[in-house]
Formats: sequence, C-alpha cells, structure tokens
Amino acid sequence: MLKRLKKYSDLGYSLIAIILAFAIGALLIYLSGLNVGKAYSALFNGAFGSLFNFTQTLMNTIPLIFTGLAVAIGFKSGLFNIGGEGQMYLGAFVTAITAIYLSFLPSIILIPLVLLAGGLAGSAWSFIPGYLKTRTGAHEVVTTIMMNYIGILATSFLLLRYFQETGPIPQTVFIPESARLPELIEFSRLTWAIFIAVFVVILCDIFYKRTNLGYKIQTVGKNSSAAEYAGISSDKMMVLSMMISGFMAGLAGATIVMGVLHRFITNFSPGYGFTGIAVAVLGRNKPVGVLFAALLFGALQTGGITMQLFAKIPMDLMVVIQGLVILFVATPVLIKKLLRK
Amino acid sequence: MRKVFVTLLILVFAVCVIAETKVAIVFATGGLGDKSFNDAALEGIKRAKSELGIEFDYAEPSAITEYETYMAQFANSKNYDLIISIGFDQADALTKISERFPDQKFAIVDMVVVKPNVASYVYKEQERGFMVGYASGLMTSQSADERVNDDLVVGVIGGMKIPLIDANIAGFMAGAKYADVNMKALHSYVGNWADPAKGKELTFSMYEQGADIVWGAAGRSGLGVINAAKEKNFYAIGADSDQGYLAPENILTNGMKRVDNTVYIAIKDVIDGKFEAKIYSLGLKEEALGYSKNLLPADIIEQLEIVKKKIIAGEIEIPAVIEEVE
Repeated sequence: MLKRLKKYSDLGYSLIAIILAFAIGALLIYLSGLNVGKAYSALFNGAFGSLFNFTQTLMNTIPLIFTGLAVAIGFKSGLFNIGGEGQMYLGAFVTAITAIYLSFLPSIILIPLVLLAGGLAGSAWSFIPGYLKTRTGAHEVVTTIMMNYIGILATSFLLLRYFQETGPIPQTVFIPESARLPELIEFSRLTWAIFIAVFVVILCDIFYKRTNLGYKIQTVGKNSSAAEYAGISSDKMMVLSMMISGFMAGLAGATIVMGVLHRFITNFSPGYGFTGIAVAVLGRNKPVGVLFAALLFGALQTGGITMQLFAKIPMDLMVVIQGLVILFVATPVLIKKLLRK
Repeated sequence: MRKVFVTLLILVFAVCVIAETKVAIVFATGGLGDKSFNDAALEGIKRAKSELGIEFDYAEPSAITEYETYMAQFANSKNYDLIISIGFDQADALTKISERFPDQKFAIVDMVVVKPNVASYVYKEQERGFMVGYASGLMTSQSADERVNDDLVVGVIGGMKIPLIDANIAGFMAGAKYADVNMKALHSYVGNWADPAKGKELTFSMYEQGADIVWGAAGRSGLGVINAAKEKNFYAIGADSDQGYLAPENILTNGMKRVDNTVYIAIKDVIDGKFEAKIYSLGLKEEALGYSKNLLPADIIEQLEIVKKKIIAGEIEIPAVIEEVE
C-alpha cells in the first residue's frame, strides 16, 4: 500500500502528512484528558454531517481556493507571494465600492464587471512588488509582507474617510441585490462562487499544462537564466505571474463581498491570505491540489466550530493540526525516514 | 417498585425542567481576554450560572464571517432558551439568523435588531455621561489637588459625531454644569474609533484651554486621552470598562457600561418568562451604566450617589442632544 502511494509521491506524501498530523492531534487530545473519538466525530459531523454543515465547509473553502491559487501561481515563476491578504482586502474593497456606485447596471453586466474589478484591484496591488523585484531586486517576500499592512490599513483609511455607512461600524452600505451572487441553498451563504472557484482552478490547470505562456512562466520559475537563454524575458514573466497571482487573491475578496458579507467591513478576514500559503504547500502548488487542500482546510475550519461548541475542544487544536500537516508536507525527508522504519 | 420508579421519573423530569434553562453566547471577534465587552459578558453569564442555575455554552468567532455559522449551529441544535450576541457588528448575522429560526429567542447587546424574536439591549448613554460629567465638575473645583488648576473647565472627546456619542457628550456637559453653572464643558470629535494619536492631540488642545479633566468616549482613540493626561499629569476619565490600570495615577473614574449586568438581566428576563422582542434602554437604575470609584474622593462619591438616586427617581432630566444643553 505504502509502496504504491510512493509512486504518486506528491499525493502520497500529502496524504501521509495529513494522517500523521491527525494522529499527533489525537495524541494531544488524549493527553489533555479529552475524548478522541468524540472530538473527531464532532469534527467530521461538523464538516460533512449534514447538508447545511457541508455547505458551510464549501463556503469556507472558496476563499482558500483563491488565496491558495494565488500562492501556487507565484511559485510557478519562482516567486513567493505572501501578500495574498493585502491583495484580498484591495479586491474586497474595490468590489464593494464599484458595486455600490454602479448599482444602476443590470445584474448580468454588474456581476462579471464587479468580479473583474475585484480581481484587477488585487492585480494592481501585486504588480507593485513584482515591478520592484524586477527593477530594483527588492525581494518579493519582504515587499509583499509590507504591502499587506499597507493594503489592509489603506482600505480601512479610505473606508473611514469616504465610504463609511453612517453609524459606529466601520463598514460600507450594503451592495445592491443585483451585485450579489445568488445562494445555492437558502440561508447557507454558499453561492455560485464555488463554481467560479472550480472553473478558475480548471482554467489555471489548462493554462500551465497546455499554453505557451504558462510554459514560459514555469520555465522562468525552474531556471530563470536558462529561460533568458531561450529568449524568454524572465522579468516580464515574473511581473505577469505576480499579477495573475494577485488577481486570484482579489477574487477571494470579491467573492466574500458578493457572496457572504454583501459589504466591505474592516478586518473581515481571519487570515485567508496566510492560510492560502499552507493550502498551496499542501496542494504542491498544483491547481487541482490546491482545490483539495482548500477543501481540507475549509473542513477543519467548519468542523472545528462544532468541535469547539459541542465537544469542548478548543479551536486552537485545528490550528495545531494545520501546522502539523504543513510541517510534514514541507519535510518529505521526515516521512521517508518514518516509512523506512 | 413501580411507584418508586414513577416517583423517580417525575423527580428526574422536575429536575430537568428546573435546570433546563440553557443559554448560548456568541462573543465579539476580539475574543475572551479583551478586558472589555467579552470578558464582562462572561462575568455576567457566570453570575447567572451561579445565581440562577443556568447552563451555558459560548463561541469565540475569529472573524465576522463566522458569526452566522456559530449562531446557526446553536439555533439548529434547538438546545438553547436564549442565544445572546455581544456587540454591534453581529447585527447583520443576527438579522438573517433570527428570520431563519423564528422560534428561537435571541438577544443582542449594544445594538438594535428589530425582529419578532430578538430583544435588543441598548443604553441611556446620557446617564453615564451625566455621572462622570458631574464628577468632573465637582473635582475641578477642588483646589487642593495638584492635578487640578483654577479654571472651571472640563472636556469630553467623542469618537464620532453619532447620536450615541452625542448623548454621552450632552450628559457630560449637563452633569458638569449641574455641579457649577459657571462650568465650561468643551467637546470635540476624533472622527475615528481607532486613532489614539489624534485623541491625544485634541486632549492637549483642551488642556491648553484650561481643561484639567477630560473624558474620552472614543473607543481606542480614548487611549490617546489617557496618554495625554499621563504625560502632562492631569485627569482622564476612561470609558466602558475600568481602564484604571492604564494610568493608575491619572484615571479619575470611568464611564462604565456594565455588559455583565446587561447579560444577566437578559437571561433573568427569559427565566422569569418576561422575554419580549423589544428595545430595552438600560441605565443607572438597572446598574447597566455607572461610574467606577478609582481616584474619586469619598465626599464626591457621596454627592454622586445622591445625584444617582435623583436620576433613578426621575428628578433630573438629562438631555440626550447637545443643543439642549447649550
């Protein structure tokens, strides 16, 4: 069994990492004097136990698909985009503002337009570190981290200064009905965004596997000098790659505003942009891998809620399990050693 | 044997009925340990547990998007007699969830949600404004204190110009003038809930105009008021919870919002069968608003208590808009 898993080494390692993480999680629960069976069954039920719970899992999965893709796409060209969080805030903010100001447009035009605006806002934000990297050599890890702060605080500043709804709450007014993504099941807040997310995953997969441009970007990622030698402008590819990456993070923000919150609120994110890094690592930077990794993390998030409420296990355990998964995925040597024994 | 069994069954049933009241509480995203709303709410529900014998479960959402999920999980379990939302940013989520579960009772603290199954608990803000305003007025005329100057000037800094803050300011001004008709009560707004630097700047400008006691009713911007008072050694007044620990030598008192008592009242109403889906305006009478003692001298506290009784008895009219004071 394990040998066969090794053949599909990426998938295999990821699965083993997940199993190991859950095993250690179980140990921690046991050592804390709590009931492991009860905890994990609450976790599973919370995530998949009923139609409603499953819709909540999917709802939590959507932003993670986008932010996971953002990081994975950066990796393809050898760039580490840690700025997903800031790009997402920009996307969410611009989405809300355009939706509010263009509310006279019919839904069929407004929805794609607003979605695009959100994505482009993310792109614009990620263009800056991309440009700085190629022009000045400023390392993208440093610049994207810094751009997070600027993005989150700048949107908050603009909101408070110009767009705040009257009242004490730092939020915009509601976006018009015509700009909202329709719910699939009433009250679930699960919207058509899930199909958009899956569609974008498929597009990305085709882009990197089948298109010339996708191939060029990956060549730059694997070896930029070789790419230059082959006549590919690595600078151009890097900036482009950063912009596609930012577009994804922007879509995360756009779909949250259009499907879940229906307005922009400061500090709305529990760190989707950062969890996206973990999602990309677990998904091995492959679009389809990201899809399933996001589902796992979405399920942990949703199931963790029931586990906290009804099995009295602190939410922190979910964070521990997520951390362990990443630790094991990032250190395949560790798993290899464990398997040899 | 059967008799024993039946009696036992009835007993068990009776105990179940008595201990049946279960309450769920959804905290604001700051989570527990915020030394503010959430911690106070937990105090209140713990008191309800020990005094009223309720059971409770709580949720600590980490993001605004999670409010609805938590509320839905609680409501869906049909286990709870009351679900309490803490803080104004839960209003959107509660509006939707209360429609979806029309038979579930909900309560929200510090915000109004008009639904047939939601009780909203808000505050007569002008009453606490009056108390701390009166305290400032009495204090600034005490010449013995080195932190007090000769001018009869006090000040209040609001977060934003909204009715809720204006009620606090109006109360403060009325209270200060109640202490001495010649009192000058300054007021200004930061325009933001989270800008301590600007709060500090405005406080200094009031200090230069002779104010030696300034109240910050401005959320986090109020921290600037406290820092300013600490730096130039005059008095600041805190808001919502006891902020005395931030500047033990300079915090005269605090305009308290007793979320703990509010939560307790909400639970008690349900137990007593008095739950009503309406807007409750709580104040000094319910101990939902008040002041803390901190550095207040005993004689001033005495006078405050007299005024407090008068307000509760309805003998003092406190304006809720600034224009009525001036």
